[in-house]
Formats: sequence, C-alpha cells, structure tokens
Amino acid sequence: MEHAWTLILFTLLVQAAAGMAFFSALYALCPQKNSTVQSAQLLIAVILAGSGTLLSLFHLSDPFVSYFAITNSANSWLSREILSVSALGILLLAALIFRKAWIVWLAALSGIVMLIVMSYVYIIPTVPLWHSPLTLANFVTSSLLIGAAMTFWVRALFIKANEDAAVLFISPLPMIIMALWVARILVLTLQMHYGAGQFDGCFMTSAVFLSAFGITVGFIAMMQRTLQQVVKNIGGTRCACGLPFALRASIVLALLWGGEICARIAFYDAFTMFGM
Amino acid sequence: MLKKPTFFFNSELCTGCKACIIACKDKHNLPAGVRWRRVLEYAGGEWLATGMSKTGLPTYEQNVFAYYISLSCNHCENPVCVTACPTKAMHQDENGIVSVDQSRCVGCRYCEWNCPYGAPQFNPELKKMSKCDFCRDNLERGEAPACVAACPTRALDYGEYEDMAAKHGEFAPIAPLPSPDLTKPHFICAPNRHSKPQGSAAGSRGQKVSNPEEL
Repeated sequence: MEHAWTLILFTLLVQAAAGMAFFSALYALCPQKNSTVQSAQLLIAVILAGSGTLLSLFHLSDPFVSYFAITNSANSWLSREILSVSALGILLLAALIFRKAWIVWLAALSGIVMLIVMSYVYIIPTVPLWHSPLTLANFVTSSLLIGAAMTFWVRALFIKANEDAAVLFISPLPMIIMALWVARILVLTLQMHYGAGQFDGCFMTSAVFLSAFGITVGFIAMMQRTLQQVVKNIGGTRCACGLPFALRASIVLALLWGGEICARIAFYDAFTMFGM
Repeated sequence: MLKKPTFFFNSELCTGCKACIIACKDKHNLPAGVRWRRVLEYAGGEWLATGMSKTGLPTYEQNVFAYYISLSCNHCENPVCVTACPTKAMHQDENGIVSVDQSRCVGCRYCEWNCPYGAPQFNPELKKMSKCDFCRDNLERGEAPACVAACPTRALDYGEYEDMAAKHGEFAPIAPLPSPDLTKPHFICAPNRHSKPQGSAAGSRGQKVSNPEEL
C-alpha cells in the first residue's frame, strides 16, 4: 500500500497515547502516587498524540485544506476519527496542565472512544482482513501493550536505588505487559488467519501464521524472563550483567515498538481489494 | 438530464479491445496510471484428465474460460465513497452523478479504499482524487458518454436505470464483481455464457482477474 508509513506511525503513536492515558488513569487511583511521574507520563502521552497527528498531515496530498476534514462527521468515520484524536490530545494536555484526576479519567475514556472510532475507519468490506471485530481487538491490544510498556519505561526512569517498587506501582507492569503481548500475538495470528482464509482459503498460509505464533511464544518466554529480572533487581538497580534498570526497560520498550511497527506494516500490507 | 444515470454492459459482446478506456482518457486528458474506466479480464478453468483412449493415450476435457467486464463508476444509489469522504469533496448531485469537488479534496484516498469498484482514482498531476463523471458535458448536449460512443461492438449503453432495466433486465452480478447490495450500483451487466456467479471461488485456483496491472 502506497504512502502507508505516515499512517503506520500515526495510528501507533496516537494509540500509544491512548494506552498511556489508560494507565495514567489507573495510576491516579494509587494512594502513594508520585505527581512528578504522573506529569511525565502525561507529557509523553501529549507528545505522542501531537507528533502522531502532525505525521498524519503528511499522508494528505493537500494538507492546506485539511480543515474540511471534520465537516462530514455525520457520516464519515474518518471525520469522527479526527475529532476523537483531537479530543484525546486536548484532554491529555488539560490533564497535564490542571493535574486533576477526573480529567485524566476523561482522557482515558476519550482514548477508548478514539480506539473504537479508529477501528471503524478500517472495518470496511473492501478489505477482507480488516473487515471484522478483530481490527478493534488489534488496536486495543496494541494500545494497551505500548501504553503499558511506555508507562513502565517512564517509571523506570524515576526509580531510585533501594526504592520500594510499590511507590511507583511498577511491580505489576511486567506481568501486564507479558499478558498483553500474548493477547496481541493471538489477535494478530487470528486476524491474519481470518484474512488469509477469506481471500484465498489457502491452508498453507494459515499454517505459516500459526507457526509464526509458535515462534513468538518462545520469544515471549525470553522476554518474560528479562522483565522478571528487571523487577527483581529494582532494589539494586543493576542486574548481574551490570546494566542499569532504566536501560533494561528501554531495551524492552525498543523491542516492543519494533514488534508493533512490524505488526502494523503487516496490517497495512493486507490492503488487497477483494475480487478485483 | 438523467436522474439515475446507468451504464449497461453486455459481456457477451465485449472483445476486450479497450477502446472505451482510450476514449475516456483522450476526452478527459487523463495522465498515465489514471483509469476512470477499466476493463477486467476474468479467466480460469483447467484441463481435466478423463481417462485413456483406445490407443493408450490420456484424454482430457477442458473448462477454460475468459471474459471481459468494462467498468467505470456506477454512480451508485448508496455511494459509499460519498459517505466515507471526510471533507464532502465526494458528493452526488441532483442528477445522480457522483463527482469530486477538488477544491475540498485533501487527497486522503479514503474514498479509494471504500469503493468496491475502484472508481475513485488519485491523479498524481493534480494531487487530488478524480473519477468518472458520466461525461456530464456530453449528457447536457444530449450526446453519449465517450466510452459508450467509442465501443465498436456496442457492448456499452447508457440511460435511465428503469429504462435500462426494462430493456436489458436487472443487474446480474457476476464474478469478479462485488455484491450489488454493498452500494446498489446503477449498473446493469448482461452475463456472458461463461460467466461465473458473483462471489464464486474468487481468488481460488483456476479463477482470477488475469490483468491486475491494468486496473
């Protein structure tokens, strides 16, 4: 599919912002939350949403009349997507400025709405692989996974030596990330299988995807071990290999982003008009 | 002017000469790669072994087929490109013609994604979407669209939907065309004697669009 890179990055960045809004909303419930950490999470979410929106303009051949793009919100899911992304960005910025928990929760809610609206942009009958609720599952799991990983990374930047992990509410995150990763792989495999089955009914294509699922399970087991070591070594901030905690968290984040970009490329490459 | 402008296409008469495509490109000065009208070649079939002859040689039967479908915008009753367009650049006027207001078009190509017939085409020179407008100017002068006038076998015809249906029968969806329920196209296609039913094994072994590079 031509000119897909800007859309790949736009969807990933704004979905990451929605995921971070969700985990920031959960963090707002923690009695011992660190307001500096919360502000940092919200700031990064705003940067993600803003940069994603800016990139989306490069997808247009004439961005100078892009203000027309919200005029058909009565009928067009694309118009509604632009409005929902804008609402998410504005609410994240408001949450960062005013530091009110209810605004963070409103931003998280708008993130959920944005994910649903964005899914409907892609659930179109002309692209068989996209035309199922698995697209919504794809976007939601992607958003939550990257949101959890970004949140983990931000908190890792703030953790000090011998600090109680509960202060930053960081201990549950590795398990959440691993569970989301498994869910993500399942959803991607199901969607590729569903799309392949619709388009040419080729058993071999489905077998290839199921094999890929098996391979990634092995990768997940390796990642899980890494994340567990990261959390166990929080007190000392360094593991046996000598790497700082923040660096290890950065490596985990980079790997997850790489995987997400590959998965999104595969999603857009499935753009094949049926029957024609 | 027509209220439901409709193209009629007789698959039995079409030879795949593509004079309709050339006439359209010539009239509208379309650049390379932009095809408001497209001719699909749908082909398939195979040779099947049926046994042995008396001389000991294998015998075969074949069910090989090929037919053409000349397709442009169908100016649908339910134009999904109009619904999908975020800027309202894609619109349907009181004469039923779906066209693009290029002053509003941002070139997002979402109409292209949604149209099951591939009608909206991105014009790289204008950097806007473009599409068949049923040769609106010809219709206003009482003349036929360029593609209809150019067809040497008279496989193409045009008129009001009810008139075309009364004259040629209702739309018989054939492969590889999508289901008419999606957009309710103002398009009537008379089937070829080799025509396969719409949705029948599209993409499977033996049946496929054999000229995808030309679409």
